[in-house]
Amino acid sequence: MNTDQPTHSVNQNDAEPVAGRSTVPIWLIVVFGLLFYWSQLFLAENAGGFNKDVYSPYPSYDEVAAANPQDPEAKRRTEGRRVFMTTCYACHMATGLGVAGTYPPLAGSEWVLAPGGNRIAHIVLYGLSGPINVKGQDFNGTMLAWRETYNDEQIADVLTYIRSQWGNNARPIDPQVVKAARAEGRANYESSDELLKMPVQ
Amino acid sequence: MNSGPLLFLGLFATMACSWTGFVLAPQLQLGGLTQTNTVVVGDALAQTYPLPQPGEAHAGAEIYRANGCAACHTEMVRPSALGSDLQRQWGLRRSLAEDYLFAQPVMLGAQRVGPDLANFGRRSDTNGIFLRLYDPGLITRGSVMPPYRFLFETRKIGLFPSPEALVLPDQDAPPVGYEIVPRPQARALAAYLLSLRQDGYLFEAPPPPLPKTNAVPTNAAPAAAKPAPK
Repeated sequence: MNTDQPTHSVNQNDAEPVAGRSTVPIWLIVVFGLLFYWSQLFLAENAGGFNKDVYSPYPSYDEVAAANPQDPEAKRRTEGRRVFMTTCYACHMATGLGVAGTYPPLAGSEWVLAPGGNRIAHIVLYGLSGPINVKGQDFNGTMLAWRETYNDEQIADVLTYIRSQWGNNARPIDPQVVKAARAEGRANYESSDELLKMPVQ
Repeated sequence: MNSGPLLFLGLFATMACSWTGFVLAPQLQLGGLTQTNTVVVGDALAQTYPLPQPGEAHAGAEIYRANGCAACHTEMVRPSALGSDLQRQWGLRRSLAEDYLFAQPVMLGAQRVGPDLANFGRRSDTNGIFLRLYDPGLITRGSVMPPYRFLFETRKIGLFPSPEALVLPDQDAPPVGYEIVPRPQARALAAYLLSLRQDGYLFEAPPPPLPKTNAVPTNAAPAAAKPAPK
């Protein structure tokens, strides 16, 4: 092929294409407007408020929350935590582990996890002095009585709290149990021997 | 071309819109996702979910990736409205963003030639996985999955047969005096597959409600009956 000869492959009239101006037809704008309106309606119905916790088939956060198992004890544990963090944590520590050799642990304690709350209700109401064996360890100290400070409801709340924390997972304590224990009207500082004679429930 | 800047702006706006919708918005929504506690039913304790994969499973994820398993297997249970995954018992619940917190990369897969593996660890065991890898037809008759025999080693039995040697039917059995044992890659892959379980109920996908009790409520007892002694 002879490359010296100039080529005229492009027609002189084929200039660079230029975009002209023309108005968008009004019907197109109307159609897009309607589509936009419909899409917003659809999103409002089905997008779950763009909440990250809302997946199908739940349409809204409220329905997800309602489908979750309801926890009627949550409020009591919160109240119990307040009491615990005001009073109990000083000795039993926020970890529930107590202080080795001085203050008994609550985490995993067989006293706390007993089937009923009768004995721990007595301990909180009337205090405790003298030797006590918790998780195979002997403690010999004094716990103060709290029956003048807290009412039945609050003591039941804190017992419910300590039975639900640090790996403890036992049933909540009913305020009636505390009320019954309070009605016995004992003197302060029960000993652990006395406690062991009481019914567990 | 007389309207280059306008064209550029139009393209830029289009790209920016999709980037905002597909990258930025999900990142803002889910970028800070962390481990959570599972929703508990009854007296069970809440568990931390999800848990990181153990080291061998992490190595197995690379084997899974290298052998293209994700070409035929998905790792996502679709919600009830979008398929029959839950009816097939491929999972307890639909998959959520949390399920992939420790997957690197996330191998969701695109098509299902084989079954979904999002919960394979819940329904299989090491030996079953080895048999499926060595000869997929053994467990699932007519399976179209290719065998992955290079993940196994046929070797002479030493002093004692290996406890890991595959127990195979006659058509797959090795010659007398030989045994077929999984290579480390096969063990890692099995560990990965066993780690696939999306079984923590989370807030976003709570457990199905318990059936309503049919016990006779105490206050509905007939009036003639005496109250039970306390």
